[in-house]
Amino acid sequence: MNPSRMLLGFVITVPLIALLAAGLGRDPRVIPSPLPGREAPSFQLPVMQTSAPFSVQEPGPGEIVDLAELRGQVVVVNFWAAWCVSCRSEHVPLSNLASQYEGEDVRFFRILYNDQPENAAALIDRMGGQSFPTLLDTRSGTAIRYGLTGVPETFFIAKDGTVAHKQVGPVSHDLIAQWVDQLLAEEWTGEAPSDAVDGAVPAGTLLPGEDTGLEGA
Amino acid sequence: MNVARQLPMALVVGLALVFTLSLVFTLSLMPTPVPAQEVELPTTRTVVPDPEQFDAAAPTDDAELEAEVRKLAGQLRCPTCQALSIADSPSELAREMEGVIRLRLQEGMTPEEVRESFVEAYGEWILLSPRPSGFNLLIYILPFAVLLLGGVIVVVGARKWLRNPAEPGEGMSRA
Repeated sequence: MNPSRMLLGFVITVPLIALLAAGLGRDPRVIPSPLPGREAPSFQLPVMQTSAPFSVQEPGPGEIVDLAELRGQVVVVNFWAAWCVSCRSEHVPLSNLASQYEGEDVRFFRILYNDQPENAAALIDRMGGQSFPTLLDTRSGTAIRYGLTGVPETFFIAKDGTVAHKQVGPVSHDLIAQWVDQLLAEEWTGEAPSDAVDGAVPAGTLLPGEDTGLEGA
Repeated sequence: MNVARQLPMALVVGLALVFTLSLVFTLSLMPTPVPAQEVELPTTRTVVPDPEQFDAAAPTDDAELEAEVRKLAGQLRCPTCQALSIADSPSELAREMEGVIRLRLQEGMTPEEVRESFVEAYGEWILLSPRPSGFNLLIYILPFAVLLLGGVIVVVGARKWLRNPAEPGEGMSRA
């Protein structure tokens, strides 16, 4: 075969195959979020009414939770719905950990996504109550600002107000504890978060050995 | 065997291969959203949120505003669907997002600012047509580049073939 023709063949096919391999090799279900490393979108949401009181000291039903007032504390925000079956597996670990970390600089909130408060309250009752509040986001404005693609999704917000990690799919006890411990250990100097990091997870916020593939990193 | 006689067939096969590869490649660059967690399935949902809660972002009589809302909604990807725009999606989240577009336009944001606000939350993934810059340029340029390349190969091959026609009575000639 003509060597120049062979070379031309290589020049065309090798990059194509390499690009195909890269494109087809990635998980299409992973939608990289630009939020980690950026300031968490603000929210002011009312606490949902539940029949059982929260065991953790928190604002009561109807009171407004303002994320901006929680600077200096680690915030765990979990989006859920009563119709979401996989959200149920998160109920116990979240509820237990919220009680376990009570008194420390960490706050737990669930935000109800696209569901009736009565359904959520009834489910919480059936599951034996929840130690911390669920907030109401009736028109999904907060969910949309957090780039929600479904439920459950959990955001770990550092003391400086930046999103440290977004977990798509159910969170386990260990995963929550790992992130909360790490973020609690971080010093907070009172400085505003730097918004310079563009879509990247800042160095040092990833746990060793943790599957961070969901960040598309 | 006459190599020149086989050239057209080789060209056709080669071009078909190049076109298929470029098509598959272009398609592979477009991520199909299948979120790992539960997504709303509009047909199986039993929970219907209270319509009164959504009035604030309900369609208005302002035809110009509504046209802009539809235009923007057509450019944004519905996060809970497969390759559907917000405008085309029947899901609850898409209706909410349309409401958010309307509210943001009413608040005085320009269409570009509204688009950017969604990119900030969802990343460039939310745009149905990737912005023609950086690596994205490839999917805009590549099909035309491949077409051009194919044309050049056809012209060069055909010229060569015409200049050096098969000898009569040789190879697979039917004459």
